[in-house]
Amino acid sequence: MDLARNLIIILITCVLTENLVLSQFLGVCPFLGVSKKTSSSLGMGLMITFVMVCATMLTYPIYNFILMPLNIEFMNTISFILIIALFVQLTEMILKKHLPPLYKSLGIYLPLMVTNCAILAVTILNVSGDFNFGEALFNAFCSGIGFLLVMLIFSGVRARMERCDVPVSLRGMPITLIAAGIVSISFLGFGGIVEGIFGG
Amino acid sequence: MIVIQYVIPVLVFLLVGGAAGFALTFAAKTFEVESDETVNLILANLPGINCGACGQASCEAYAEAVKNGDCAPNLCKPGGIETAMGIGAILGIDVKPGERETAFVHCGGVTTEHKFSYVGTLSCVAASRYYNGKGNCKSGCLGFGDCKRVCAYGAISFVNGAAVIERKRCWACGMCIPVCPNNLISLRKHSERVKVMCRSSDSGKETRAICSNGCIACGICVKKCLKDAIRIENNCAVIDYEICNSCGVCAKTCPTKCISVDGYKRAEANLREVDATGDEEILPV
Repeated sequence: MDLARNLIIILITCVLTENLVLSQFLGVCPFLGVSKKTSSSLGMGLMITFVMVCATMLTYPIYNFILMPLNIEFMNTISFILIIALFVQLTEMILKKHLPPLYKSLGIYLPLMVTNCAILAVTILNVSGDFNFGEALFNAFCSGIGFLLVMLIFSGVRARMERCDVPVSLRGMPITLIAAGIVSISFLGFGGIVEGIFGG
Repeated sequence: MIVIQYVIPVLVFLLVGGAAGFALTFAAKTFEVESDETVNLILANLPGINCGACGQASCEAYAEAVKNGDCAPNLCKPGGIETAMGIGAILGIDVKPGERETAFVHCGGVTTEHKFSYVGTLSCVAASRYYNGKGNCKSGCLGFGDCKRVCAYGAISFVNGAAVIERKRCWACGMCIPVCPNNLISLRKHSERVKVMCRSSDSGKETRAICSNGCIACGICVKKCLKDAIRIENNCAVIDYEICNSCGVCAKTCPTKCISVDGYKRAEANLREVDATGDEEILPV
């Protein structure tokens, strides 16, 4: 019961209330860059979810069984980036082999995932002490799902905007940023859900 | 002790990095994508500007199509002769190179009186819907620059209100041809030096009244042509390039000077004048 409760809290927190993109403003680069088409935003979301889970699978043990005993926790950023880079390269290879159209549509944003702050933030958050291994994995998965959800919502918003008569001075990136801000504000409405359901 | 403080982080870093490196090395072997050597060679030989003039989506797609025999090897217009020969050498076949082409605007463009003030959308297509544009000539260049907007190479500018294509910047991709509502642009081979710089279908009298260098369908060129390569169609001279040998007699005898040899040179000379005085603004009058 306790486990289920924890997992549900993690799910709601990651996907809705503390969404990586809209509440913590992490991973905005791919969020703006590849959200033009639903197919590529879906691909990017899945990719990020995959890398987050895989990276957590390695970074959690590395932090707890190597860095902590040796008292060199300050090494976490640099060693986590190595692990993330490993999985980004791996997904790149897999994509190139099995899904070349998606590989082409993601373009530069695929290798840029190495320095994606959202992934690094999730891996660092996971070892910050609140989670056990299972919860950390679930947290990474849910964060990815949250990212995926926002990407899909925003690609819908942008598809609608294609057909709008936007003032000339706002065309392109400015109106996209304004729309991102409005979507972000709408996610504020989820605030307090966890407290409301589970009583603080 | 201090040494260990430094050594351990470095060792950990090396260990993690090395492990990741090894993992990637094995992954690279497992997920290796075999890329075709021939396609790569052809691709290296192409200009790589993805203009689409060959009918394929990109240079890469064209390279593959050529390799598989789905496409002729001389379709690359920007690359021209050298590229076609290069591809021929790679594939070991004889290639008849296509001749280098450039887009040409068939309008000399002289500022005529305007029928009315146009204040609508600044686009040729929109302007042509209102009584064939604001100019008196209904088949001339409208001057709102639809062709300039689609040109990816900045080869089109405006002189005397008419589009002029700079030959050294034009890659003959043909993007500008379908966007001209008056159908004024065509691709011409470099050997086809004589061009009629008018597509007016008005009668000679009407053309004479509104434009100083339009074709008035007088027929002098038809009579003077040594090869019988010119005919009058819809009140405008048309050159049959299958027969024309670019002797230029027609250009010399044309009373309105709307036939020209190396029309692009005349146009480009005007272009340089405009450059010197600053680019002409296109404004709705």
